Amino acid sequence: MLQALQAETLKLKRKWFWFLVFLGPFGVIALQVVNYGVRYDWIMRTYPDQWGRLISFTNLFVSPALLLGMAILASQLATLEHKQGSWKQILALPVRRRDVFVAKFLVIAGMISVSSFLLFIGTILLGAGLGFGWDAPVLAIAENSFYPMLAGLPILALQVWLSIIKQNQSGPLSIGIFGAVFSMYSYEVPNWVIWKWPLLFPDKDPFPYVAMGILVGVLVLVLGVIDFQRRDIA
Amino acid sequence: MSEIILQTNQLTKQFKKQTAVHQVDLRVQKGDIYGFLGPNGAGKTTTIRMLLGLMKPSNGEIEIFGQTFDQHKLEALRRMGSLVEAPSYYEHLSGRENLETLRILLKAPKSRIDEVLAIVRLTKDSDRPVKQYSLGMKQRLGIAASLLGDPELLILDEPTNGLDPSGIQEIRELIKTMPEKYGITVLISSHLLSEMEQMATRVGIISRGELIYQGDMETLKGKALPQVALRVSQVEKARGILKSLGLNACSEAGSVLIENASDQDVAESVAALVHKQVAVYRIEERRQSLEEIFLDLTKGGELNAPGTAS
Repeated sequence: MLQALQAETLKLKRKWFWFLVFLGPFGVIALQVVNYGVRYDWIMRTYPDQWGRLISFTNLFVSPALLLGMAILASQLATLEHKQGSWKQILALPVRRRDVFVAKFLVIAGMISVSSFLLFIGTILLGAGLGFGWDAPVLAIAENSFYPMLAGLPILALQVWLSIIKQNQSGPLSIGIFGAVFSMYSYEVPNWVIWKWPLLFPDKDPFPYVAMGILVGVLVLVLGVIDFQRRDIA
Repeated sequence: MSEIILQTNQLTKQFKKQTAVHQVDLRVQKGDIYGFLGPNGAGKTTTIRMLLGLMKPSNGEIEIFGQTFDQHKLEALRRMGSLVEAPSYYEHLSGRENLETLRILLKAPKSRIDEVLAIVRLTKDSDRPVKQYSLGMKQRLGIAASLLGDPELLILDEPTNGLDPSGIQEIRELIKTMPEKYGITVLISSHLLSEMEQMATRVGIISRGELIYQGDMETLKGKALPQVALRVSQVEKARGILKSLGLNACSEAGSVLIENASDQDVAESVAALVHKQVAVYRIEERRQSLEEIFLDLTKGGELNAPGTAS
């Protein structure tokens, strides 16, 4: 497993993966810069809870950025193998298919964690820059930065699965992009729709979504591994 | 009889409606360069994918290193190296980095990378990105990758496909040295018999999913029966005379052909023909080429059977 992970990270060299990892949180924060830039006075007048408002504004854009990031990274990482028919080379090595599959999932999960961390730092810096002071509600900001990712693990597992089994990435990418857009308008849909989970409903208790995210994420990952093991590699 | 390193029993692969490989019994012995031949689409690649665990057989079983492959897959793959069809590589990485991603998975020592680079003579170019490599270099990199794990059994699927003559020559020379120099048994597939003729010690010929010949290269060559062609003035008359001598003769535009003729037969035929006033213009020996045998064996295959073989 460790070897599979090491091999995966080696392949990331000289690609734009880390740029994407940075771009996601940067975009989300940049949108808030614009938001506050345009109507700073109005926002400050209307909402006395400065940090709380910043968090819920940010939250709006975290979910779509996160889901887009997952879809694109999963697709890119799978394309590395699809492009020059590398699956047949790796899988003819003495390595378990399970390890190869899970390594891809973990690498992307790791990247998304980095994105989430950048978002966490970015939110604090933005707040301080807007003059809210340095006494940020660190825990609430951390929740807002990391919980969506955990609640979104089923989608990550799904995107990795689809991207790996489909040679043509237009399907997996379409599903990923549609899911990202759909998630923004998913307040009304039933709770079992996984694309709704990363939104976390700021007003309600986010914990069930996080717990379910991890649980179902692992489940989808296991299903993906089982399917991948049974496939013929063309 | 030397040790059998790879064998398949009634190996079959069924895709939805089509049987790609049908009850194939391969036998590869230690130290062989086993040429696995067949026209395009005959089932070579499918067979090889099953041997590497990339596809699951629908029926039958595979034994490698004396163990059932299905149950000892990782163990067997650890001792095998492979190159399947077009070379696989990450073009944004250098040759060395490409090998490194595989080396990690193989848990081979780091020094092995330099060794295999030297074997395929890529040391000089090892730090250039692979996207700048020529096809021949990529193919050599693929062979280097297949050697990384210090394999005992090397499985190469059409390793010379798409290479120019000098590239083909180079790869061929490389493969020829494997058994003696490194003790590696090689199974190599190709759709060109002429190519195998120069390196294989044993051959298996597959056509439309079925193994139609398996044996020594020498035995196959022995099947190339010599014919003696006599160009004569009166073909039909000459044929009659030869038949009366008890020879297996047939006619062909301006000539009669004698199958499987000994020197004695030829001498008698000529004497008889001259005696009966048939002028003999030319006597030539014709050897059926291996390609022709190959075509005969695989005849009835798809219409575009090896277009390159003629």
